[in-house]
Amino acid sequence: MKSLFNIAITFFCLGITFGSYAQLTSINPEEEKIVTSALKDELFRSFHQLNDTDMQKPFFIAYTLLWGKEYRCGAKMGTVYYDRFDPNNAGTLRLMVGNYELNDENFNDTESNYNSASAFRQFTTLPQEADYWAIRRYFWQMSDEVYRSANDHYKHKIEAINRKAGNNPNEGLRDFNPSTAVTNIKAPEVIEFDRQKMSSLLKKLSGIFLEDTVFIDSEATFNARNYMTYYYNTEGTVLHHPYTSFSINLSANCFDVNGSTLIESIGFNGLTMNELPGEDELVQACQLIKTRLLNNRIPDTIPEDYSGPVLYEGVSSADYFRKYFFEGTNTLIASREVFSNENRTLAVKQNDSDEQKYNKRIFSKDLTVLDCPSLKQFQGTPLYGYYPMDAEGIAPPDTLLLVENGVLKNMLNNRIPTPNQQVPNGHSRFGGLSVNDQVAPGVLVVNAKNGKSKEELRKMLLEEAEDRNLEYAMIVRPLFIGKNYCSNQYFLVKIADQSERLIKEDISDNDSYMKTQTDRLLGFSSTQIVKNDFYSYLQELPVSFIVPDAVLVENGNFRFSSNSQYGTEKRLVPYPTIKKVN
Amino acid sequence: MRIISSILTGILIIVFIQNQCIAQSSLIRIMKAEMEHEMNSLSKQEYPAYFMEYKIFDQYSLGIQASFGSVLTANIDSSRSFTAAVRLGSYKMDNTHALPEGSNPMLEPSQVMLPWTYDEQILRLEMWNATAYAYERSKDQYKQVLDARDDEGFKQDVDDFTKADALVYYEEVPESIINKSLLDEWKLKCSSLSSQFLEDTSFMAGTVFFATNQNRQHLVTSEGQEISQNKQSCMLMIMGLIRTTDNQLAVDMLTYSVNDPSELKSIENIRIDLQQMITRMKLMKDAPIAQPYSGPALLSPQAAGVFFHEIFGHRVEGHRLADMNDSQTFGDKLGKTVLPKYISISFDPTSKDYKGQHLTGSYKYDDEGILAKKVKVVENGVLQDFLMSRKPVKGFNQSNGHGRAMIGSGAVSRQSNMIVESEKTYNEAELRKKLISECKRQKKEYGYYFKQVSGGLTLNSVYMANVFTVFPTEIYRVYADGRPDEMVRQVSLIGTPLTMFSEIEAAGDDSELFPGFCGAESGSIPVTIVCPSFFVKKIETQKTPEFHVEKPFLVQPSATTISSN
Repeated sequence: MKSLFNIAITFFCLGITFGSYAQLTSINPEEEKIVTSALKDELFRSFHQLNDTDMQKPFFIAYTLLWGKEYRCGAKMGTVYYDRFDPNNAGTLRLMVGNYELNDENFNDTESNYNSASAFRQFTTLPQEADYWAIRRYFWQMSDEVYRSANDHYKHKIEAINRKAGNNPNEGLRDFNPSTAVTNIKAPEVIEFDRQKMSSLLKKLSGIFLEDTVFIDSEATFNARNYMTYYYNTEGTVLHHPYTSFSINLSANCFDVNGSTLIESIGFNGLTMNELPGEDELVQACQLIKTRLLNNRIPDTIPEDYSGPVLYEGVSSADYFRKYFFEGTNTLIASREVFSNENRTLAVKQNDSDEQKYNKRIFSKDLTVLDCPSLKQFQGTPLYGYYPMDAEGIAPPDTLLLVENGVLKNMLNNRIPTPNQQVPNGHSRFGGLSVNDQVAPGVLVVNAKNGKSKEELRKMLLEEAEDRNLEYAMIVRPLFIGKNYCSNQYFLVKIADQSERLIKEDISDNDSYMKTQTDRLLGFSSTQIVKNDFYSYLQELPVSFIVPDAVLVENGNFRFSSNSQYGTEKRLVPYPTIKKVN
Repeated sequence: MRIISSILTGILIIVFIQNQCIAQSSLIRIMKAEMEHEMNSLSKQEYPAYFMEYKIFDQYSLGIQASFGSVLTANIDSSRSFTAAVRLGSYKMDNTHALPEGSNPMLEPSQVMLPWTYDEQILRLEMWNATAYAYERSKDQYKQVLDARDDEGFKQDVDDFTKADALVYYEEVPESIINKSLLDEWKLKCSSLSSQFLEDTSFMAGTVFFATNQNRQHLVTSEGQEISQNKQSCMLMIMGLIRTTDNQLAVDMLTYSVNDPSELKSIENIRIDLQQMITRMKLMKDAPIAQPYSGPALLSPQAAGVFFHEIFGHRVEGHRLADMNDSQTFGDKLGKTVLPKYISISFDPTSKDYKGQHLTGSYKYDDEGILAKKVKVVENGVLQDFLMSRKPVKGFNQSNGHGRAMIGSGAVSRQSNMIVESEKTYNEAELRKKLISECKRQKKEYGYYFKQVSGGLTLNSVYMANVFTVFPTEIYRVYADGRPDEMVRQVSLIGTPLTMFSEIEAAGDDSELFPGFCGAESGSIPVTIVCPSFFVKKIETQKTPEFHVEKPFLVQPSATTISSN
């Protein structure tokens, strides 16, 4: 019999024997064989045997399986709280009935009587370990449900089309583009890191805040993720897509003078371990958090909301272009109106895009926008957004012209055609941490003509603000620690003396990016910078932006609010200071 | 070399264990130090703290889920959490005082996760943070109490909290049973057991859950209680869902609860039980849906146990007598006959097993640090006592060690191991005879036999009908004319407590144990019921909701089904 703590001894001994290096593999070759056989075999069975006499046979099925592991380590106030590996598996499928021309998709079925809440779904989950039958059972059960619902939707769609003959906004438009079989198999990656060193580093970083009793909490976390996505479809396409990512997050809390809690955090991400900052930079980041918190303890008067010209400098300008083209309304993502059987409305629009503006000017005529997913690096920086084949097996063109001299020419799409973008251009992207794909750019390049120097842009900013009788102008600037981008910093520049005030308060960007005006850009730099980023932070879909390294926007709207988080009472009990015994 | 290595390892282990013992006691010391630090300040505030309670829960768990022969999850986990609770005011009137509009504030501990360290600085910092939030919560409650003092209906007839004596109780750190070899052993067993469901493709779920927990709880109070005690449990649950011929889902389950995995039945015997369940479930496929019914019934020990837990057990939880929203079924019944004279009921957390089976509702000290006591609640049909926590009710000023709560909740009076006994018993044949005779007397074609149940619930608010529901999973019609028993499904047993007590007619000689988890105000806690079967003159049933499920187009993939395709 062992004592409770013998487990710890075992790990301790293992540490001595094998050193502290940890290997994080998403899947080993033997497991991969099991997983892929299960996918192939159940896909084959579903495709050939789901043919109930009263139902349409599926003409297309795709199974996607995300299989991976995550390492998480976290320390608070100088002590490790957790240090563990967790499996993370997820699966999804796409099953269509009908044919490529007309199928059950692109239809809002308001009359569906299909109940997707299967009572036994909770018992049919993916296994943590590669288990052939359990994986097949998972896809068998989902295929059964989706086959049923697809037939239901298809039947209603045909009825709706017949009922609303001539009023289908997508008439003549194919529902799904066919594709030839492709195979793109990449081997799983193995990542290594010094687990003990990382854990010690996190202790050290979070422990920095113990030096001052004003800090009531601090946290330093490290995450390493290693995933494989397996995609198999009945057209014969096979894709094996590896994904790794790393992140370090630092945060701390303190009280302000009123007793409210202030929180500051800084995070770093990378697709490789090398992209994360070194120890010195991380210590510097902790010191910055400390300084910010200490400075914020005595609250300033919160500035009034700002509405006026904004100059984005450096990689902060990538955030502007990202928001402009991919957030809110009228994005550069193609979408089609979804046909509905709703009686009152003919059709509902799935999401807003610039679809109606093909060959019309949507942006400054001095700018041309391209997506270049085949670009592997820019000025020596490897690009996150490089990919040779998308998540549906479509190879994107080397260069896709999106906006030419301000005029919309193309939009990013997947295999669902839209009136102006009928051929797929391979932009259905694997989400790094998600089993669901998403239409997104790869390497977005914004080329500018008639660019100006940063000095000229700053001068233009101040003149514009002065013309509008504003007391301040706004500059958004990136904050770097070493070579690592942390976040954007917002400065109000006083027109009278050009002094700058760093905004300490929370900032919400109220700009809705309606993009109804084409003259909203007052100027931009002629030189370019690159920013690697995630398109969706939740999914960690990697993208790159190569954009002018400064952009002056006519109108930006910002609201400032207190960054005190919670608690209004001052602590009644003094901080429990203990003398450390080493 | 090997000898030196063994000696070194031995020394390492001895030093490690010694260090752990020292560290464990230092945990109590750290809790006491921070509590003293807090009380020094908080007892002098405008809203003064008069009582404080710190708890640390060390939890080690092993969990496995297998389905149709495949292991889905298998994990060993551990966590350490801390809760702080603060009472403001005085024993006489504190922040948990009932308010005139009917609300009964509960003590609300604040909870944080602690690291696996004995570093005093970090532990006290977490305790300091948690105490601050606990104090704030209690202060909000206490202000409301003070504001309501002059309101009509504000009562102050009993204290809000009883005093407890200082005590020190320390159980040794237990031997670990949670390890990789246990995990591997039970992965195989769970996988093998769950594969038995593959014999019929109508099974939509065939799942085996295995969980073993070893918990160590440290309690420190400002009254000087210092308790370190261990809790260990192991549960194996097997659950099947089968698609009936009319495409409904029917459920059945087996539950085994022991203290240690080694105490579980042999895998061969569990396999036999499971095979019987599978056979039963296959019969359920064609069993008719029962219609609403009123008439005599036999309740198996398990069904009767849940029946008593719901209709009786929840109504003797003492704190309900101080709750204006509670219907207080037994409010004025003390010393009166509430059950047939031959029935006695006690709650005994001090018993650890019954006929060799583990009683999950056992503990040495309750969650308020009070020594557990056996409480004879009903003797010869007469109500004698209530289950008490440290919240007094009129006439009951002392706790009898039934203040219970799950981690993070404030304790209230709850059930432990309920032992239902009958002086007068009948064997199965005699009970059946009574049932048939009563059917004939009531001119009923059949009576019911409730053999297996999955659980139950009860309502006891004054704003709702005080009904209880028991969810049977194996039900038979017992025909008065001697026809063989007929299995039926989709029905639940319902009723109201006082009527049901008067319908209890006879008890069996076949007491059995039924372990489970009970959920109420203070969270989910383990309880066990030991009960014989009962014959009841009149019960009422109602249909349960239908769970429709389509027959899958393709047969479930498995080694047997695919090769046979």
